[in-house]
Amino acid sequence: MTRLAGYWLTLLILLSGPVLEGQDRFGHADLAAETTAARAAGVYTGSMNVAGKVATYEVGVVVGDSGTILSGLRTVTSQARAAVAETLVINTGHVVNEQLAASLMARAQSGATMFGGTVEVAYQGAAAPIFKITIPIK
Amino acid sequence: MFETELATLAGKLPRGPSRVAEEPVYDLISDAFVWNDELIDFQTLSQGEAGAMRCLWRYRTSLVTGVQDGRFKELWTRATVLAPSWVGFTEGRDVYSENLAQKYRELKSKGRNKGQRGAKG
Repeated sequence: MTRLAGYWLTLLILLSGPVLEGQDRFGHADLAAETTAARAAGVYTGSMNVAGKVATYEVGVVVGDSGTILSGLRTVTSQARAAVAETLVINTGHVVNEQLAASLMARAQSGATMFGGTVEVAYQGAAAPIFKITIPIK
Repeated sequence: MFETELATLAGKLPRGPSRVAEEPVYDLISDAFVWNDELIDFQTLSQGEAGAMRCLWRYRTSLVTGVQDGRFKELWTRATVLAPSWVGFTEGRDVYSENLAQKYRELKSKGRNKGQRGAKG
């Protein structure tokens, strides 16, 4: 179960962010090119907002495969850092994927860290819970 | 669940019918197939509306793949009334497809195998 949870969590976090809507607010020079490339690869994502030292990434549609994992994490983290954030919060929105929700719930309940961050249940709806993953990035 | 959000989401849904012939993509969060012309800018949706959107995709995928998931059937039925011209209701997108069912089985199998090989915790 732990391994499965790790897999889904890894996939969720890393596939969720190769390109961010609105990332130009961080002055990212390659926004257009990256967006085009990511969409061509079939990766559609959410958006990031920064308040103080906290960058919050709202997950949208997550399409892709595990091949995008590492680059995805690096991109999200570097963009949050570029915005001078010290913490990255990933808000999943309502998760209706039962396996993924169960994996995230197990992680939240066990208190196990993920990339040095924590998983918490932001909304505990039986059919569609919401999770927040908080990762220190300083 | 999501009845109120569905009512407001209905007015934002792209309308069809679609002429897109390409295969749908798979969205991890909703565990569902989504056609390109259904993709909606989530920044224009409330969290609840986005949740309702994912529920519609999830239920329809249960029809397409034959893997039963009745959790959102009522919401789906309501959507057919509130947004009958949604592009997602295009003929053929809510019926069993051997091709997509096979693709779905492969995705699930791949996920299980990777999980068993072990991801870092």
